[in-house]
Amino acid sequence: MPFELGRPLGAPNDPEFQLDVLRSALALLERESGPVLEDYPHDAPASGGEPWACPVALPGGEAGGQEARLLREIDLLRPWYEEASRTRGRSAVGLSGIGDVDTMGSFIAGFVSGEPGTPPDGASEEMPFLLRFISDDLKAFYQEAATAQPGRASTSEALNDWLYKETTLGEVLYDLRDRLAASEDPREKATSGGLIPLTYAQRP
Amino acid sequence: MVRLSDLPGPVGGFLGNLPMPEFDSTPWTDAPPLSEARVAIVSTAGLHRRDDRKFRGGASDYRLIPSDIDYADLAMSHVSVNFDRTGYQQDVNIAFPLEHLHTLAANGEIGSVGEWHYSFMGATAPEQFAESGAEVGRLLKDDGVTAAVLIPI
Repeated sequence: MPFELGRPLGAPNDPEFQLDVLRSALALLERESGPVLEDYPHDAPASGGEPWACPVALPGGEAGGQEARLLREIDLLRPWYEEASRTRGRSAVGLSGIGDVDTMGSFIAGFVSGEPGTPPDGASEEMPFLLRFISDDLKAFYQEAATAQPGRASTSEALNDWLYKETTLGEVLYDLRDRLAASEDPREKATSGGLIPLTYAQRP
Repeated sequence: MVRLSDLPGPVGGFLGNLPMPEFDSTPWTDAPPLSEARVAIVSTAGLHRRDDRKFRGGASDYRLIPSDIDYADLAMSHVSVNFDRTGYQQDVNIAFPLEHLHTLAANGEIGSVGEWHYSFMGATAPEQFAESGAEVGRLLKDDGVTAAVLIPI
């Protein structure tokens, strides 16, 4: 399966292609001798439709405090996140146990700015591991919202470029990583490595 | 599994330099005809039921996923951030094609779908999975599974 990491069956929302990948893998069981090592012969199909763009224009810029800008982004993305959840019948948000995304945003921005980091109500983990799951939840919230609009050809590269290079959330995640990396607490230092992919390790 | 040449430099370099295991033997067994096979998924995507324990770094245990799970009840707590999650966010079947297995069973292309499926967190060193992997093998056998689809993330 020569597809990018995270997409072992090739392309989302393409059941025919996914089924072909699965049938091809299962067909290997019919070989009479082994070992069998064989590449799937097709690359993942390119998404059709219009080029991807975030459904809403995020304010950008440096005006206002970081927490206020983050909450403003969350507010603008919320209708599209809810639309994504409605049409898909599910969401990947929820690892942190904190039901309210505004609370997650305020908590993570507050921690970055030096607040002590008392876990909000409902938190499913202790600090500092909670930070990892909040960051996963916020990334999922943003990227599910960003892919809610049908007919847009999103790629993982476009969605990650947008998140890490263009949003206040990306800025907050870099700040969080740097704060944790500078910590003398080994658990915080270890958590710093679970926030930003290696591909985006360098702050834009 | 992605081609190493398609990975960005730091990720490809890390994976390309991992030691390759060596095996003393090459076990082989004849599989039943696909139309009679009972098939289950074994994933390394760090998937689990939403209310089950999340995975932590170094985890070598596994989570049980029932065959009738509603995808809304599925969560992913894999510790690595170095793989795409946007595909999974849009479509669970891209990483955990349980719906497709049910389709193949309904079509008669496979015999049946296992009652349970299993997920590991694949960022742990492979040799640490020996015990839990053997246990999953026994559980699959107990369920009558005759073919497992191993799906890395």
